[in-house]
Amino acid sequence: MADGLYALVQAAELLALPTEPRVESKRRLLEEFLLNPFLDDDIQGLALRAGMERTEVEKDIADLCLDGVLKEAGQRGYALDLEGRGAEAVEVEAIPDEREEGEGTETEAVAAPEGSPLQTEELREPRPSLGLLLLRADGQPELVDEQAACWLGLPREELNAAAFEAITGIDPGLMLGGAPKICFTLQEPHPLTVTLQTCALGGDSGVLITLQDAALHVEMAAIHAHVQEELFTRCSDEMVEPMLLIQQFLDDPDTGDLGQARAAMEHINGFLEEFLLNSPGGGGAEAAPSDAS
Amino acid sequence: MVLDIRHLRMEDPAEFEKPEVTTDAGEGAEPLEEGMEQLLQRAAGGVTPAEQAHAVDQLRQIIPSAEGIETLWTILDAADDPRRLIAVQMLGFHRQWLSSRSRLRQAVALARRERDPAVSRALVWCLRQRSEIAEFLQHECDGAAREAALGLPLNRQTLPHLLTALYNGCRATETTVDRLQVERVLLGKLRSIHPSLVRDVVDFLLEKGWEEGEERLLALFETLPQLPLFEIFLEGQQLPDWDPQQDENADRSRIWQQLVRAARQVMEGGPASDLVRHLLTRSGEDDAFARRHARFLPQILRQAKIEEGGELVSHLERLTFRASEDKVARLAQLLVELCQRLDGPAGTQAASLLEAWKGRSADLRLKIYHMQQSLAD
Repeated sequence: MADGLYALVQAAELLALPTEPRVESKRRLLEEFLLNPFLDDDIQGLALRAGMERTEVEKDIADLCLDGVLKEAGQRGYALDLEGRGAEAVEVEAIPDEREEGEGTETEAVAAPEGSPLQTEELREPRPSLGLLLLRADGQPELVDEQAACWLGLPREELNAAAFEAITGIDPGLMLGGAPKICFTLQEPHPLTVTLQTCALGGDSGVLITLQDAALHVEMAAIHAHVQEELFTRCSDEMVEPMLLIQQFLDDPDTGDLGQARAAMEHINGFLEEFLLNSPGGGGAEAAPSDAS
Repeated sequence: MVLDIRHLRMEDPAEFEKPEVTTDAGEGAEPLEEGMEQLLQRAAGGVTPAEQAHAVDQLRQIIPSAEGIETLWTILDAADDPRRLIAVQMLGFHRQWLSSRSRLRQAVALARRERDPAVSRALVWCLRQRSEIAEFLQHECDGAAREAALGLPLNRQTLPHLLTALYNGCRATETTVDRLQVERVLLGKLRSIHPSLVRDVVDFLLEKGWEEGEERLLALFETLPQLPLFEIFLEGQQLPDWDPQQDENADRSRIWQQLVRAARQVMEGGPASDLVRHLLTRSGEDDAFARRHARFLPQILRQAKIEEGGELVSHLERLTFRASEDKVARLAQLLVELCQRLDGPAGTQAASLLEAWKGRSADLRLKIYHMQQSLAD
C-alpha cells in the first residue's frame, strides 16, 4: 500500500518539475550580448530584438542575472557578467592536460582556450543536459560537442549533416532554405529533444542543433503510466468483488447476509482511504501520512 | 502637505558631491586602472571571456573625453586595426559625438562604405533612434539592416523608408532569416505608429500600389491603429483633395478598392476595442452614421473580443444614461446582437440592461422585443 502511495507522490512531484528550461530563448538573448557587449537595450528593446514577449524576456533576463551571466547596468540595460567564469572554464579545460602531462600545464591551459569554443563552453556549462552541434552550410561540422556526439552514438569526427540525417531522418540543410525553427523528439539512440535553427557563422549561414536530454520526461511518463496501471488493477481487485456482495444483499435483503455486506462496504472504504479518494470527513486524509511514513 | 527640506539647504553643500565619474583622461575622482587603449586591447583580444567582459565593463563606465573620442575615430579609420569593432561599439555606447553634425555625417558615410559586416552592423547601431538610420534598412548586410530596423525612430521622415523596405522585402525572391527578422521588427514598429501617420501610410500605398498579395497587405494593416483606418477607408475622411469615387486614374481607383477591402477585412476579423467603442458612441449620437454602417456594425460586434463584453455593456449603459428613445433604440439593436454572444456575468449584465431599456416605454419594449424575435428567427 505504502509503495503505491509513494509512487503516486513521486509521480506528482516529477510532474511538477519544470518541463521547459527555456535554454533556446536565453541563448538567443546571450547571443545578442556576445555580438555587442555594449548593448544597452531595456527589456522592451530586448524583446523586440529577440522576437519574444516582454514577460518572457523579463523572466529569462532575471534567470540569467541569477545565474551570474548578466548583470543590471543601471539606466543602460544589462551587461555581461563573466567575473570568475574564465577561471572555472580554465579548470575544466585543464583536467585532461594534467592527466596527460602532469604538473605545470595550467599556464598552457590558460593560453589554449581562445575565441568561440570557450564561449560555447561558457554557454553550455550551466546546462549539463545540453548538447550542441554547429554545422556549416556545406554540411561539415564547425563544432561538435562531446555530449552531442555521445547522445547521437557517433564519434565526434564522423558527425556531419549526412550522419545527422541518417540518425534522425531530418536534413539540417532544410534550415538553410529559410525553414523556420524545427523542434522534435528522438527516442533512439537516446531520448532527446532536438532543435534546429539557422545561425550566422562568420559571414555565412550555419545550422545550430541543440540536443536536450529527454530521459527525465520519458521516465516521468513511464512512472505516470505505472501509477495509473496499478490504480486500475487495485480497483479491479479491491472493489469488484465487494460490490458484488453488496449487490447480492440489496437484490434480496431477506436471505442476504447483512454482516457480509457491511464488511464489503468497509473493505471498499478502506481501499478508497488508501488512495485518498473518499470524502474529507472519512478520515482518509489523516490516515494517509502514517501510511506513507 | 509639503515636504520640509529646509534642513537640507542649511547643510554644507560640500556634502552633496557629484557622483564619481571616471574619464579616460584621468580627470575624474578615481583614476582608471589602465588607459582606454589598453582596455580596448584587452576587450578585443583578451585571453578569456571574463577578461574581455571585465575590460568592456570598464569601457562602459568611463566617459571618454574629446581626445578619447578622437582616438576611437582614429582606430575606426585604421582598416587593419583589430580593435575597430570594440571602438565602434564603444562609440555607440558613448554617443556625445552625435551632437556634432560633421561626426554624424562621418558615421553615416562610414556605415555606407564599410565592408566588415560586424563593424557595419555596429556603425548602424551607433545611429539608433536617429532618422539617418533609415537609409540602412535595405543595407546589403543583413545584420546592419536588422540594426537599422531595431533602431529606427518612427516619424514622417522615416516612414517612407520603412514602407519601402517592407515593400521591397515582399518583392525579394530570396528571403533570408535575417530579412524576415527585419520585416518582423518593422511590423512590430508599426504597431506603435501614431494615428496621424496612418494617412501617410495610405498615401504611400496609393502611390506605389501593392502587387504582392492580399496576405502581406493584411499583415501590414493588422499592425495599424484601426480607428484611423476606419475614418479613412470607411468614412472617407482626411481625403481633402481627392475623391476616390471620381478619380480618373483607374490604377489608383483599383488600388484604393484593394486597400478598402483589406482594411474592412482586418477590422471585421478582429476589431480593436477603441474602434468598437467609437462605433457604439457614434451610432448612438448620429442616426445617419448608424444607417450608413448598418451592415458593418453587426459584423464588428460579432467579432468583438468576448472578454471585453462586460466593458462594452457598461459603455452602452453610460451612453444611454438619460438618452432619447431614438438613441436607445439604435443602440438596442447593437446590444441585442452583442447579447447573443455573451454568457456569464457579462451576459446577465447585458440582459438586465435590455430589460431596463424595455421598461422605459411601451414603444421601446415592443421594438426591442421585435429585434430579439427577428434575431431568434
